Amino acid sequence: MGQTQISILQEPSFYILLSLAQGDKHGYAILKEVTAISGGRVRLSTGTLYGALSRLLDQDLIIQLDEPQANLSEETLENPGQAHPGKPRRTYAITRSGRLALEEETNRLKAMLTAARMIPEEGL
Amino acid sequence: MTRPSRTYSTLLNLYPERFRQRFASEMAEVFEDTVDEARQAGYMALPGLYFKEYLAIPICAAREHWAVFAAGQQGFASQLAVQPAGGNLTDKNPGGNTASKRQAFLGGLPHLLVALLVGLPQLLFALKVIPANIGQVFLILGAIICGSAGLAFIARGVMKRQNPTWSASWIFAIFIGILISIIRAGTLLGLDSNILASDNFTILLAVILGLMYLLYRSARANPLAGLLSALPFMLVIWSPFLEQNPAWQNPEGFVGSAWLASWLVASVAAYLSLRMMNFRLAFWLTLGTTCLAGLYHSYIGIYHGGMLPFSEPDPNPKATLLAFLPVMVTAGWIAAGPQLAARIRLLGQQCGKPGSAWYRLSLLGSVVMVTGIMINHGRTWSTVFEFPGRAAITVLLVGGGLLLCLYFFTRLILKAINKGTLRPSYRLLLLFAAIPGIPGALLLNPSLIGIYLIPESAAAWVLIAEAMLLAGGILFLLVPAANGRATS
Repeated sequence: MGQTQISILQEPSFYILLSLAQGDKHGYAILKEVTAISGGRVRLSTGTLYGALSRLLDQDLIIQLDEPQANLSEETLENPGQAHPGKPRRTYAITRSGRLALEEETNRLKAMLTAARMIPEEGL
Repeated sequence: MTRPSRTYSTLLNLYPERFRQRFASEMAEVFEDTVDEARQAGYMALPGLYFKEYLAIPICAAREHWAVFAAGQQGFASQLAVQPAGGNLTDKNPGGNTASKRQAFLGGLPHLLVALLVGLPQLLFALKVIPANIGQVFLILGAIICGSAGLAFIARGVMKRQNPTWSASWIFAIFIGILISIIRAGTLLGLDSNILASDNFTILLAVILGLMYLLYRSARANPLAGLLSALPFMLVIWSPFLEQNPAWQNPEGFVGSAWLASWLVASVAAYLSLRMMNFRLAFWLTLGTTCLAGLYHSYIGIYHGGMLPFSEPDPNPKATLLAFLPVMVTAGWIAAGPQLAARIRLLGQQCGKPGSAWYRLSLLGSVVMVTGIMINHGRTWSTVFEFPGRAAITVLLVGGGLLLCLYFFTRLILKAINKGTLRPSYRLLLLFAAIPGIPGALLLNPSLIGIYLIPESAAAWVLIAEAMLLAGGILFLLVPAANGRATS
């Protein structure tokens, strides 16, 4: 399983990969990051988050790390709401396939945007 | 843990088992974090958060169940394929986890012999290639070869204290051999030569129980062996369709071709099942073989066998299908019943002491239920079963048995799900639907379920299927449950 089988990423999956591309995170940190990078437009419920994580894991686009990783983002480590010191949590990391899928999807979205921009506004 | 968190954790049970095991604890933690943060932002934010999170669970859980369904991860066959105590799907084969070609050939050999020694002579006679007496010689020769070879193989396994999986295919030969011996002995002793006719309720019951015992023991030791042993019986139940086509008198050769084709396909199915050693594949091969054989037998019976119902003006596909379906359902249960019985027993054993009691009580309910059905149907076979209050007793036994069966079976299933030994699936729901459905169908007028061609015979076969499903019920009451050993 790899990115070749994922032609189009769903929005939650796309944002999750985007979030993990900036560093390994546990579930709650991903939730916060997705809200932040989407400008508050995408607010995932816990159920949606883990449904998407499950599919990404199955597709080998991300992996699960049993121990909190040293390379957690600074913001994550500084925010007690995200890191919970003394409460080990499973963190998630993006894989090489995940990065490729993210890149592919980003390129696809860019191409769509470029195409849309070529049409005069009144034509939309 | 706060009340909202407890509610959330409870709702997480809606997810499929595998998903819960992977993520439930994490999800509960994330939910708590989210609530903590919302609380810091002000209590007004909480109702909206609860609404969003609680509502998301059933929706997301449904999506996960669908994903499981689409991926076929929890197929009925795989549910059944959980290994019974001491049993496994591997054979004694040092070369890998599939049977060798020789072993697979031996598994398909009895069916091949039936095709060549029973089907082929009949066909050759119909085509006027050989005279009838030569065909009869082949028939007797086939019975002797099949029966004695089967006995030899099983005896070899008994001496070695382990029967290889392929030997299950020979159980049919032994069973038929024993039946023929009983008939011959009855004739020699001057008893009724029709000793095994379907109107002899007691004998029929004894045959059913004996058959159930063999198939159940086979399935309990090894699921694949259970299928291999069931396949020949699933083929012979189509024989009523050939009754109006006397084997040695039909010029078209329908009977010979039916025997030859059915048993050749069965031989290939048995060979492939053993080569692949895959329960799911074997299950569908078994059903597929029976389906093909059944369609041809139904076609022969309706179009050429004088079995068209009086209500039908001409032979037609609808009549063929109506004749085919109920018998096919019966055939399916002959394969699935013993597997299910073995599975229920295993679930009971896995659920500790209460589980052991519940599966016994559940199966006791099944036995009570089927007893009521037998009494009801028995009146048509024997006047012994016609007595005052028969109808009331039938309803009482069937209703009470059904309630007992369903109640304890449900408790057993829920316990197994909670322990994580069973995954909830839509197929499990189908199973629950089938339990009350089968006796319901049996108690209805057979014509309502399409069995109008050979009402009592068909009802008898459906009864066999029902009884097969409940074989475990009778046996579990006699066999200690938690011994954890294979006893094939």
